[in-house]
Amino acid sequence: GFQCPACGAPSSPLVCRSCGRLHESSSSGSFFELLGLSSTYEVKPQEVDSSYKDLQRLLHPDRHVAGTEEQRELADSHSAHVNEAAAVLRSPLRRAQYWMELNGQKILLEEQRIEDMQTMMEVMETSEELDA
Amino acid sequence: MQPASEEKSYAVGIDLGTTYSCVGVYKDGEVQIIANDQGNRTTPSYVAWTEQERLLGDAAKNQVASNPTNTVFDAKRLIGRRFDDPIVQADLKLWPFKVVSDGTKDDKPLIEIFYQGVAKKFHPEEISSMILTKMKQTAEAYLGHRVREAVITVPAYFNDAQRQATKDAGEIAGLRVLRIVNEPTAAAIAYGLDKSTSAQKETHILVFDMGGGTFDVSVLAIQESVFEVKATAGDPHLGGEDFDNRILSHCIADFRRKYQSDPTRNQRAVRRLRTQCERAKRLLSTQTSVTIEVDSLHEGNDFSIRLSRAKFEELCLDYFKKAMEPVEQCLKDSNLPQKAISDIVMVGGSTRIPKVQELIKAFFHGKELCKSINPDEAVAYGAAVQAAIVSGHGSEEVQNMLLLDVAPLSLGIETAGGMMQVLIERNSTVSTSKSQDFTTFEDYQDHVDISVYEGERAMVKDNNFLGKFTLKDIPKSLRGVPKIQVTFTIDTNGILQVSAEDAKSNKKSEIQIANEKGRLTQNDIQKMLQEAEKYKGEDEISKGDMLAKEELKVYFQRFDKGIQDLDASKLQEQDRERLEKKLADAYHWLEHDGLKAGKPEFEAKQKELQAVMNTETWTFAGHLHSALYRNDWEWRAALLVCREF
Repeated sequence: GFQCPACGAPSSPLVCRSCGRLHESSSSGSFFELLGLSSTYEVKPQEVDSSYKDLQRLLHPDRHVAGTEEQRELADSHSAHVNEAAAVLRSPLRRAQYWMELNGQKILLEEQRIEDMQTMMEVMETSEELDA
Repeated sequence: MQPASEEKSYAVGIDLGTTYSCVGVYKDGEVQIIANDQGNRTTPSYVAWTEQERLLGDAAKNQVASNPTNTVFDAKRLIGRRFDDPIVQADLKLWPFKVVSDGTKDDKPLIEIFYQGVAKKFHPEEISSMILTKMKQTAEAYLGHRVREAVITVPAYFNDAQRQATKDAGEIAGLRVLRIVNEPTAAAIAYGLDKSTSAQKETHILVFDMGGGTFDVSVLAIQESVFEVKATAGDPHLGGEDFDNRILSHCIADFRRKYQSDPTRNQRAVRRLRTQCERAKRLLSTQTSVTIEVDSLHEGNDFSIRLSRAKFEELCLDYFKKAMEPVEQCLKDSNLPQKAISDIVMVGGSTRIPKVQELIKAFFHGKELCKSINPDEAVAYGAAVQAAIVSGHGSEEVQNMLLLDVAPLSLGIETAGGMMQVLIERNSTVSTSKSQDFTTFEDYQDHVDISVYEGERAMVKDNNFLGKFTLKDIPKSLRGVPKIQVTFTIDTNGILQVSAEDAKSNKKSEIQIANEKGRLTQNDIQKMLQEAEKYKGEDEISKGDMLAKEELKVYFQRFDKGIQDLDASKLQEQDRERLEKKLADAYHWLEHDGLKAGKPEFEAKQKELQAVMNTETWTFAGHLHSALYRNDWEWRAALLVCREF
């Protein structure tokens, strides 16, 4: 696994659990990986929660006020990244969209969706006519 | 990680309020709210200039009626706003001090006062910095150490400019601002520590924070000492002062009716009446009616009116009802059902108003309100805890705490047709960032302008303009070819940072961002800091005077004790009388001439007494050894002060 360049201990790619040092992360893993969850739509909210808070305890800018400017900037960007991951995974809709994208299903863009709505209305109207 | 050589320093928490401020420090495992030199735990956010000196806090507020145009308050209602802001224009009419525009395109408001015959103009940031300086000195006097770092609170609903300006005020006061914290979040910490939140179970609270000038509502989830703000809403211009103004208008209308004369232009009269209105409002929280009385208010006419609680409620009812809207909004944004809220925490002086309590209780179908925390001190308490967290000085319990706050307003950029394209949604947990690619629309275009706004409306013209950012030195090429990735970050202080990089070269440095947020430049801040230092010099002088006076008083006591401790066998009666006479004279001098004296006079007086002591000591030198032999440290100290040996 990954080793902390500062203290040599085994470390997560974002932050060292032993010495608290933040690392410049090169890998852009998925939000699921970031929070240490399996890549499936069915996630438990409590798991997202506890993993999120666990990471923020180490990453949060409040923990790095006394650090170097480089470390403070990393705290800002890492913690922003983890915030985004939690926001997506906590919301059932956003999680579904994200999960589908991860699996190669592009979600329809806004403009396409409007067109789609019109088609849908037509379909609904036609079916209503048929019913009547 | 403090360097070992550094003297012990504390980071304090400051609640910089519209009408009152409060300072706390985390020390020896607990929070101390610090009383000022008048013994008060909150300090009026007032600054005044008299003919001789600048006054801060209680001293400034106490003389407001006699010096209305040179007494400045409400800086928080101006900070981070433009002069042409309708809110500023409305407030202007109620202030006895003068506010003018700085005349630049930023249209910043400046407060104008007269000091030693010269008109002086101050930015609201400078006025706030003076109040922060007062709070800093209050903490230093208590701690006996310099204070260089602070956490300062702002209303959760403060926008980017107001936050930035508050941070600048801290810098001008010579403080390193560790964090800008939202007031309701700070109050939630105070509540949480009170309740001990190490519990596994997640609880949700709603903080209702209504102070002198601003109003916030926040919903938080608390679990295992993690405080997570779910949503926030509010009104940055609603509070106790608005209620005072309603009572004031009511009184002025009554005066006009009774005497057919208008006191509005008589600043002193208005100020005296306003003080009584504020007092009446406070009393009406505990009694059902009150009399507002001012002798010889205007043109020799006395004023007196009876005000019932019901009448007060009628005068302010639209404000009280307006306050329920953010409660509803905040609850909706938090995606929580009303019954999920386990506690409603009331903070800020205005939550003492029975009608406010009644309305929120009714909103929550009769649920009891939590009033266990001190509404005036909770915010400073939480800020002090946050200061301990970020400076690493807290106990394990405190060090384990984590605060996750949100951005109160959506952030976006202007797109075609003046529409707002939202990049960061309101109530996103901070820090948060969003990247967006920009390109050129013309061949060989070398710069791109980006206008940034905050607010919830669809058109940018209805939102608050934050600033224009210009990407400069774009490598020249055909239109649409450059790809510049701009990252907008809202940091944990709720302040926007913008960075850009060329998506092709991944080079950050090549593209310059010109920031036109209309805030003070680093240069401005430096200048103000120097100006503030000058005042500090003046303050130091008066502080030096006070110290010399105190030292002289201590010397009197030693002198007195010295005489008393020598019994008749050692001090002849006539000598004793001479010494006592000398001391009595010195006391008399202190109480009369001493009122106007400065450090040199106090020191001279002390030397004079020492000289007397010298001569006297020689005459009873024989007794002296036995006196010392009694091992009376007080006497020895007195003699040491005399520099006898």
